[in-house]
Amino acid sequence: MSRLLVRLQSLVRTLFWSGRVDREIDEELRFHVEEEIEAGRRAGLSYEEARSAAHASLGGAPARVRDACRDAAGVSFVDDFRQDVAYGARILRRNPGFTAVVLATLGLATGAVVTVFSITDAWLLRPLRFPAADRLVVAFGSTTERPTEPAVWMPYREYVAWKGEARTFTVVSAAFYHAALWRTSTEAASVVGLRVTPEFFETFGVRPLLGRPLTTADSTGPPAVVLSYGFWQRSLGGSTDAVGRTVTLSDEPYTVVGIMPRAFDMRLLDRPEGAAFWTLFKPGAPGYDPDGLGPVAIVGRLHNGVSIAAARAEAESITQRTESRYPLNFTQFVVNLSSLQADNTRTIRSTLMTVLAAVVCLLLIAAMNVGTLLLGRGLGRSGEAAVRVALGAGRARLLRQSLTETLLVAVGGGVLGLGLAVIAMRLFLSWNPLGTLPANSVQLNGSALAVAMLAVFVTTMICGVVPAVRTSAGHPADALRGGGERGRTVVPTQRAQSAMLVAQIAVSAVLLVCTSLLAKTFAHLRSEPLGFNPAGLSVATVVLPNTPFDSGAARITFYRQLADRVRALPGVRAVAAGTSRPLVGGAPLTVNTTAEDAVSAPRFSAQDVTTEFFETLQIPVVLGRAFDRRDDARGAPVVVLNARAAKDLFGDPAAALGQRVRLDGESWRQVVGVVGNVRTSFFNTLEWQTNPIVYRPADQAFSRVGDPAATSFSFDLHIRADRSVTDADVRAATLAAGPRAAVIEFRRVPDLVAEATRQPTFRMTLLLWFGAVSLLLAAIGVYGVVSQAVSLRLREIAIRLALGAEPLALVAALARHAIVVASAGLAIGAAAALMLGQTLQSLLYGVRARDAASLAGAGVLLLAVTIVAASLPAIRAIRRDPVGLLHET
Amino acid sequence: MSRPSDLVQGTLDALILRTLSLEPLHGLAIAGRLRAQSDDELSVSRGSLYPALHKLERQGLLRAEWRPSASGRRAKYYALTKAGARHLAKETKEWARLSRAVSLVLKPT
Repeated sequence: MSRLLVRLQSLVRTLFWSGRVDREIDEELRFHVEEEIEAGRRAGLSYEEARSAAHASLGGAPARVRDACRDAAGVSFVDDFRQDVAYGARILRRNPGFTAVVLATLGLATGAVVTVFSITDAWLLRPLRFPAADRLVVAFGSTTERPTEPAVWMPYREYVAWKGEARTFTVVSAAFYHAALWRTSTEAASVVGLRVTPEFFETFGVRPLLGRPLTTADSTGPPAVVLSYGFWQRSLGGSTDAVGRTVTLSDEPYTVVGIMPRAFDMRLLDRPEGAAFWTLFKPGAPGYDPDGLGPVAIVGRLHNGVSIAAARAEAESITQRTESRYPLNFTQFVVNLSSLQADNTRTIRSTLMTVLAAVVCLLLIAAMNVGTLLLGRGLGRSGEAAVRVALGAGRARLLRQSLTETLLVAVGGGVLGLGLAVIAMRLFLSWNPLGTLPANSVQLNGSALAVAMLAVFVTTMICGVVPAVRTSAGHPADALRGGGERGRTVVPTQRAQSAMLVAQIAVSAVLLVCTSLLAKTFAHLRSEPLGFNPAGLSVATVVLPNTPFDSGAARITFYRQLADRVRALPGVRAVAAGTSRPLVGGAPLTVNTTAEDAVSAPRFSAQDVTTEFFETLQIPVVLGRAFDRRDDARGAPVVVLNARAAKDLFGDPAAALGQRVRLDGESWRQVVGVVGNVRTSFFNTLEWQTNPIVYRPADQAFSRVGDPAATSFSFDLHIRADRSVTDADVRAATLAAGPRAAVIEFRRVPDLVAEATRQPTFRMTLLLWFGAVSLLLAAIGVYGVVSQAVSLRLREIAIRLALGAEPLALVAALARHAIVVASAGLAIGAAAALMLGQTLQSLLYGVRARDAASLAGAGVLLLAVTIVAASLPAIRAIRRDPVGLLHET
Repeated sequence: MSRPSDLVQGTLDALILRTLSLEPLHGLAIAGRLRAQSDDELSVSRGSLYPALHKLERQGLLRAEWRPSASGRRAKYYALTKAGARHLAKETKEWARLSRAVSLVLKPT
């Protein structure tokens, strides 16, 4: 240990104080000489005699001894390094084109790696900004088929049970989304907050910036709210006397009791932004009592050292035990407990990991490409190296020089890459291609710098070591005899070059196969029919406060007035209302087909729609009829099923007609029609799902009170128009139809479809770019190798041409080597892609990981690029005049 | 001045370490000691003492320190480190083994 320290000290000394080391050696030797002279003089020698005796005892003139000491002390290593850097820089300056290509290649690759890493770091690696954030967990229910994907919220009573029994948690709280209508003087908007239990803020361990957190006392008395920093700024202008003031949410006054700090960015699931406010669950709200089934996410903090698996096991056993006491229970689901951070990054995680893997591949490809080019250059310089070896330069010395040159290039690329990464991160933040930004800031921090350094190290090792070993391995006499061209050093160098090319093409093949798989996934997602026609469709979410819209009749009347006004807008063809937006299933209801409530009754999404709904969305009626004027509030209760629901309930759509179902304790409804399935996108799964859906006529269902605590009713107005209808038009129409009504969101349905496929689109787009770059690099690599081989064989080519060789055959002969090498790389790449493809399976849809067409496509593309890149230099060579060639060489 | 034609590689190092095992010395004193202790048989090969000292220092077997010498001038004193002492013990054992082997071979019969 101490020896290591001493060595380190001496290295540091020689690196940074080599001048001082030199002076010390001088002083030491001077001491020796002068003491010896004095001793000689005392012994009666003349000064001259004493001096020469002193030099003899030293072993020579002080200057010569000093050089030997410098070598021994390691000073010369440092000097050599400086010399090598200067020499390398000179060489790079002399070939600006080459240097630019190499620096750009490495810079882009390093920049891409650092950028993607920094984004990944902000999302996945850095802990969320809460105290001991790794101990924060959140629970949902999952199906046994997909235990890692949340399928349902947890029932409120489990929060009560866990709170009472769980030993692995220090605190347990519950939260559920609470979208509220928030009006400014000019317009209305929807703000998303959470209803929480009193332990919520304790769970996170964060104190409010102003005021106090919510407490149990707030469940009685006037409703209290804690605001996020952002919503405080927006609603109260960030005024410091905010505590005690009133904020109106969904037309209901709340007293502000606290403001959370800016860093408190608290999200559930993949919300693009943190909650805006927090209120307590309303006391007495149905479902939120100790036996209640009200939906919540259970948010807890684990005891120090408790693993998520252990907590999950305990929670699962408590849940099974509690639920088995109820006839209507949750036992078909399993508890899905994940860290809050993992929960916040469900959809983004796989995208980031894919892209990170792809950029690492790209860096490897770039490094191998630069390595191949440097090797080729080393080939041209083998004569120079041979001369230096012959003049006595050590092999190690040459190797060091070659590595120094590569290091210079790699550091240059790294610095360039960091610059590019800074720009790319800015672009990422303003472009926001994933639709949501991480709670942590995306920044160039220490770990990003470490990654950049690692990238520089990896590239140096890949690009530098092989060429260096090759350069120093040949016998100098061979290279010298061959004039630096035709010596035997060429063969091992070419072999090394080929190996590098094989590796590069193999990695490119993997990247291209993955790109093709993701592109196919995207194509499948895009081409599959949605079950409705999104073109020209817009949807506006309209909120009706309970006063004055307190009955189904009032809501229907308002809708009719609004629909008439919107229909009068230019270009509007059809208008309908429903309780869900396209691609969204709707709140689940229990569907019973028997008189008694069956424990096994399925829960299907339900939507309440107006009579024009199916026609407006262009959802085909498969059997029976759609809703019409008969199905009003006084008519017989009816229901329409989609084909999937009909099949699930009755085995066959035809068998469903005329059957009766009961939804969530309502009276019987008769099935009057079956409509086509529509695709829905579940919030965290990639594929379109074809879920069973039951439709009720709006006239018979708008009166329903899903949540008696709700102070408003909202529906989605679907508008099909030839010309685009604007947000402002719809808002104006709404205001004219009823002053208390508000449009909180207006979206074009094609945009909603694009958003649902955003992750696969982003993955595919980026990988297409990376695939294209890897193709370009492969082409450069092959071109470089062949043109070097050609330039070394110019004389042979000229002789063959002069002797009447068939030009095409000659081109084939010259290109053959590169094509064989590329094919070997392809074979390895294909094998690797087959193995790696499995890990990609979860990101694929409509295509298997072992997709023959993707493999073949990538292979053909790479091979075509190789053949073109290999033939070009060969063709150029045979076009030249053989006589001129012979004279030249 | 007679000296063994080829000192076994590393022998000079061992001799330096041995010399310094008693007390820290500067280069000139080490040279003197080596000559005196070997009855003038061993004179350090010309020009190799100081490079050897610097090499041993870099290897962490010696530690150097500037301090005033007997004549009052500042001199660079070398001292054995722990690693140096270990190295010396190992070398001494090696040497004993080697010299026994050599003397066995060369023993007049």
